[in-house]
Amino acid sequence: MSDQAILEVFHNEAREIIENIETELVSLEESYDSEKVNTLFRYFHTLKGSSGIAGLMEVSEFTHEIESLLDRVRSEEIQVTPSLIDTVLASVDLVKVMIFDEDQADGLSSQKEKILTFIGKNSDEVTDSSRPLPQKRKLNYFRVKINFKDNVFEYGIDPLMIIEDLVTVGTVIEEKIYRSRVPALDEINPEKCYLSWMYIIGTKHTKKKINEIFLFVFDDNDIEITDITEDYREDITSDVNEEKKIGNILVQKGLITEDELLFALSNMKKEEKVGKALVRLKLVTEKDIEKALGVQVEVRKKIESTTIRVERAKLDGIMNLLGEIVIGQSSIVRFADELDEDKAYALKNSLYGLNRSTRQFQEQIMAMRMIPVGPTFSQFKRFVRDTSRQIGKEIRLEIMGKETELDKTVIEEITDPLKHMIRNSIDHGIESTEERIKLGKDPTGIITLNAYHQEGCIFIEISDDGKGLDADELRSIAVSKGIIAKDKELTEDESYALIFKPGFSTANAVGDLSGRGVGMDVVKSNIDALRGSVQIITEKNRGTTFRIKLPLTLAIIDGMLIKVGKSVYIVPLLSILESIRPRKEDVKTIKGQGEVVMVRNEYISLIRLYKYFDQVPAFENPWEALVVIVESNGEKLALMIDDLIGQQQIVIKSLDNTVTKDRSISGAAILGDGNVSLIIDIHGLLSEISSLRG
Amino acid sequence: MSELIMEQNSSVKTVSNIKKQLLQIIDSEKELVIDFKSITSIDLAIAQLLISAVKYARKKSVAVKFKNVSDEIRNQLQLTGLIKRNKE
Repeated sequence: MSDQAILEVFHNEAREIIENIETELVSLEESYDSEKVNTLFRYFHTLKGSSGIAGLMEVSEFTHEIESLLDRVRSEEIQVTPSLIDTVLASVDLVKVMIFDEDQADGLSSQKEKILTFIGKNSDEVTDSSRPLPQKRKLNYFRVKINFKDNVFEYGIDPLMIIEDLVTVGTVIEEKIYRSRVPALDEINPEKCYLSWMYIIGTKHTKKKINEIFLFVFDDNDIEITDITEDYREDITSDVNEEKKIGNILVQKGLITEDELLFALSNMKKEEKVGKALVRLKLVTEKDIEKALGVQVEVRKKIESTTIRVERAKLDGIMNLLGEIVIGQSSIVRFADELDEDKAYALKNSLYGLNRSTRQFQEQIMAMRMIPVGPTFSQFKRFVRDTSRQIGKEIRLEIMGKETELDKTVIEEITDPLKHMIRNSIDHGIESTEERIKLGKDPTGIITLNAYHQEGCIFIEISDDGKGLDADELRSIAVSKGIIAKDKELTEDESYALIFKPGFSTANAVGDLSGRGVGMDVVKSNIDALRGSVQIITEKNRGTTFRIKLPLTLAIIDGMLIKVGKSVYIVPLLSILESIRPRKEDVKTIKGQGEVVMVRNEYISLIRLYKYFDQVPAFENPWEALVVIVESNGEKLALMIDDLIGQQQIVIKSLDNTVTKDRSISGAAILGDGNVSLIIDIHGLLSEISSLRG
Repeated sequence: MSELIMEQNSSVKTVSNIKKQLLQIIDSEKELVIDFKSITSIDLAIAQLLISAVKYARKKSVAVKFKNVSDEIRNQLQLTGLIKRNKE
């Protein structure tokens, strides 16, 4: 590898480490946790080592000093104080210049001196005595009892596949396999199922995910899934697991038997470690324990070194190929439909297994591309801390939905718009400290970032507890700036949306941050480019929420194929509530609402899709055709179609904005027969229709 | 000693046949070796038959050994309790 290549690899690594350091530092400032200090120490240690390899000796020496400082924090020689955090943050800034902008680094020697002086005399620092306990990430726990009917094999189902799916959904805490019912070979009917299982699984998923695993066998077999999260305290179980691991190493080494381990585990005194218990019970010597602990460290090291970096283009390549495989599979299914019953049955059975593997394959690849939004959100913590201080406001950033996963490309595209929206909230949303006190609010303003999945989309919310938007004020500013005509009538929502207009700025004076009148319009166009949308929810003196909805680009979704005229369209299965054939008397026209269908005493707007997409329909009357009831954001719509074709996995191919600007189409897909079909975006369709109705 | 090689298509469809072969070996030999070299995974019917064969072999004091067990099959045998997890 050339020097330049080494430097490039180092730059990538350093960028990531520095981001993590900043996040961890701000988090350490909020609450002390010795693990956070350890993590920071490791980051600086890695940075020191890697910069040395890349030939940046100055960086290596400087980070060595910071590492020593953190080592003293680690050994509790010195304490974490705001000035210590400030110093380490300043040193990070310096390191950034030293690594990425070497030309500028020479002029920073006085700053460097200042930091090194602080490190030299830091032992005078005062103790911060409040140290809340670290919070562990919570898991859900389920007890799953599985008892298949003895003729389950006759249905072409392999229960083993289902059990495999179950154990990979999380961590197996307890496993019981009931084998006693299996007869000996001379008595067994091998075509019957005798085994049954009981599992306790700890998982980050909800019960819905566990239910999905048993979707096809739930009704006919004895499956019981119980949420026992309440009974499980993670801190206890993880300690027990840790103890078990040491015990298991001793068992593997043949030093004790499994029974002896169980005996020791059940005879452990309060706060006693299993190793100590084994020694006390004279089952092993202390030397054996030391060896086992050594093995444990090795195992941990091995785990830490099993990650590799892969170029994104390679993942994209695999994803595209997989898309082709899914399309190929769909065409085989179509072929199976043309065979006689027996052969079709056999082929479909094999395809069932293949389908399951490709689904897992897809999930794995998607999972590789998907990264949790947590790190991206966390990097804004420093941004909020620094910028709010700069303008003399007290603001805290709270983060929710850290574990929500998003395609890496989407995260990259959304980071800048998010930053600008946060900046906007700091500058315009949250009031000054004095104003907040006057209003009886907490002097510290809160900005909340939240991310979650809904309707197969990703929602990101930026909320503040500030003054909220004032529709009248926004309107008069827009008039004064010539953005809208004086006599233009606007609804409240339209007034709020004015902040996304180019040239709009609510700040009286141009400040350091936002208020230049550029930014929010760019934010909007960036989100539009991702085929997303922004919704503004605001209340006077309570605050404002910007809700960004983004599609899962590149994703594979479950879609329902529908026929309208001669064309086939796809509706995401997640948006569909039901499909019905309405009675003639339930279809009416209401003034101001247009055509509606009455479904269980509720009027739902009817959209004749053939008219919308300009097709020649097979049926012109809704009571002869079919109506699919769909929902988005709590709003329902009845789509009139000619026929439902069936459910299929759909590989979304994004459409360029030049193909269609129509928000009701979110992409296209290639069907099993090679034809292209458009994917209907229900949220987009609702907005297109409301703008058509004006 | 006699060896039984699991055929590529070993599944619930062929399980009755495999049962006959296993019975024949256990009734006449002192050791049974089951070779998985031709297959990469098994279904529950096969795994269950192996449990049953081990039970029967124990009764008849016949030793049973598994050969060429892939990671996938090992995992599957663990899920049926035929191989213990911590003795991998």
